[in-house]
Amino acid sequence: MKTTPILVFGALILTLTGIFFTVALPFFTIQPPPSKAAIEWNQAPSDELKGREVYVREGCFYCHSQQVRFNDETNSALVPDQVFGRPSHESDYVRDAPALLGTERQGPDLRWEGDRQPSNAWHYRHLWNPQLTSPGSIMPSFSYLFLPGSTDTQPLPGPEAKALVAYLLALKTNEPPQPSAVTGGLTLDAPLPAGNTQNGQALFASQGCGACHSLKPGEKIVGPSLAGIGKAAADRIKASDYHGKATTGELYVKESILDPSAYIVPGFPDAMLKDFAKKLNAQQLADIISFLQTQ
Amino acid sequence: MFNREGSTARRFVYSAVFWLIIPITYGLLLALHLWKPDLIFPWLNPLHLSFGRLRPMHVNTAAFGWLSMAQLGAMFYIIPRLTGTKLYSERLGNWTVVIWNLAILAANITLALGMTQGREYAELIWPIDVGVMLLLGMAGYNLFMTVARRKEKQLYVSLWYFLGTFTWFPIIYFIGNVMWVTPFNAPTGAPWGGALMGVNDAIVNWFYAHNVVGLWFTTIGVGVMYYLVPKLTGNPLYSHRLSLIGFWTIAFTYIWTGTHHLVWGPVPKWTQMLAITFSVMMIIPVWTVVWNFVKTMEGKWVRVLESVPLRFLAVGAIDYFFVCLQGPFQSLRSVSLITHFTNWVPGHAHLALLATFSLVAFAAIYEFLPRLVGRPIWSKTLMEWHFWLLAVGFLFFFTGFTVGGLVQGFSWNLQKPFLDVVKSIEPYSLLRATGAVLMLCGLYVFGYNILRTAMGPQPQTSPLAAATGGAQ
Repeated sequence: MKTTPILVFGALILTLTGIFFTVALPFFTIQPPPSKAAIEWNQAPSDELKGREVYVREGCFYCHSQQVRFNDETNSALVPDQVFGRPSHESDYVRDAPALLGTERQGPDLRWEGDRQPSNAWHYRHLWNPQLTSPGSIMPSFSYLFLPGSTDTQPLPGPEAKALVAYLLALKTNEPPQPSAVTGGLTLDAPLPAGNTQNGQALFASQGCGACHSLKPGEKIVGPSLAGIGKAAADRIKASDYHGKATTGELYVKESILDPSAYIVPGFPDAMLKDFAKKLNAQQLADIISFLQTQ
Repeated sequence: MFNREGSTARRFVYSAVFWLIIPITYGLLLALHLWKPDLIFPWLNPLHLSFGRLRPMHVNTAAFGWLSMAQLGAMFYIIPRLTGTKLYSERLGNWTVVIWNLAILAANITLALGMTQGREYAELIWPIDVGVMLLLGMAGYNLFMTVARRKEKQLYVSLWYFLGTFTWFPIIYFIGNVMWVTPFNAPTGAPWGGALMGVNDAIVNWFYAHNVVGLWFTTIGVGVMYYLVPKLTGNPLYSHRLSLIGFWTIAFTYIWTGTHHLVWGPVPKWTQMLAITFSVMMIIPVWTVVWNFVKTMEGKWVRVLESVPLRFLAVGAIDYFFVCLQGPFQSLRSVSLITHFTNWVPGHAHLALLATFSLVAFAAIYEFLPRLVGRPIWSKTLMEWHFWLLAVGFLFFFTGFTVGGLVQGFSWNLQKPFLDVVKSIEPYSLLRATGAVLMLCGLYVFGYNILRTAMGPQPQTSPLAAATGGAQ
């Protein structure tokens, strides 16, 4: 009987044909020149490399993708992916092994996390207890990467937490900043309704503002303390290095929420999330500003 | 005791049932975590077990412990019956069972310690991969040698599927796990080997992950179904010609489809379009197989009311039809735009491995185990509980995944803030966890029933004495 050899041989030929076109051909033809992101990554210091190993070991890639999908018809990021930055390209991954593209977004995409959230302190607090920075998050705490004696106000990162955050901050394009891909949302000149201080206080908590901004005078978490901001704001716009557009203290607060990079208080990082113009509606913004004015 | 006829199949079945209880328990923890993380991680944190370590433990133990061993048990039961001869070597078969168990144990330990290749479905580290290759060789050698010595000259289609599987899968496993990259020559960042540089790593990863479903679970599972459908209905197979069309089209089309996991992603468009095209073509082998089963079932559907094995098999076949319609559908660019990265996708994976091929495996175990041990399944009532808890639980579970996934996908497309979307799917995560609890109860019931069957009184004569020699 010749059935068996024919079967095995036929099955083998069909399989090898498929493997040739779907594995071998890409293997030999996808050889893009590295992008700036990949070139920088190639020179990454050892803690960033170590951090990537921690990222793999803890299985971060099961819930966080590292690919911003590309719409070749509009030549831009796919609509659901626009909040994550510029589309990623095969040239961004040439130094990556394993590739860690990911398949789920239980959490946000991290391909350009270093551009989106460049603050060490924010990441330490987030890894220590995600609820501090992102209320309602379903991410587990990675408190076992922190030193004994860590608290919610002062998490003490161990060497692995430091390496992991160094890696997350290295996930950046290394290109000059593009105008934000997020379009629409509130602008500085948008008229606001009357604000409600109590609702503003609730929003301050639910948006996680307190994760980085203390309401006690002089306490520095990540960003400046917001105690007395109503008065401080009026002074800031008069500072010699102020280059924003605000003309009153109230407008300064509004500007700081909608466009956090417009002015950075000396001694602080440009770490605040840039998506509040999109996330908040006019009433919510008015409520938060009204609350902050009372501080 | 390693030479006794049928002992390989029996030990594969017992091992499979043990390795079913473990990953479903992990699975419940994961479902609870995604609903209310505070419930779970304070317990896991002291063990340094994060969600990201438990997830591959769940997937690998369920896929390679439970389902693979159950299917191999069924296969080793079927081979002697379709070849009309004894298994080539029960001793070799028993050693395959032993080493397979050790490999799954090693997988659980290494994954818990965070030793991983960092590639979904291909996490097992290089030394375990070597063990798996050895196991595939041992099982395949036993299969090929038995077929070579067969007395029944005609090769029934189930054997085609088994022979095809053991031709394809070792190649797929070797390439998919990038086994030529070992811990000794691994690139920076991949200390356990098994990774390429750049997006080719993702292409090979998804080539593997897709084909482990398509040319391992599907092809063994369909082979088992081809044996069971005529057996449980008492009808002859409707069409042998149709079964061969199904075989050759799956052999041709499946291997091309892996890159549909990277639609819109950072890989060349031609690789995506090729994968989508072949994904749609998958409809041909699936429909020929299902149509063949439907026609074979003709006049016997009413038997699903009383026969639990036939009910598992029939529902498995119907789910096979649905999951293989869903697959081509979600590979399309317009659908993937919404469903990719959402809970829809793991819902699809569970529909394939749990609601399709695990159901076929339950049918096979309920049908084969009594013949392997010479006594009936301990409790018919518990078989009914097993079916209904699993069926109702899965409906909740699958709805939670799928509808929650659609909510995620459409909300992201409206650019809703990420955390708001996380909060908005909480009810679906609760639904999924509820379903998981029901299914867990059903599967524990199954495990207990099999345990009691295994502990029953020994039969006086060898149970297989009458069964062997008589081909199906």
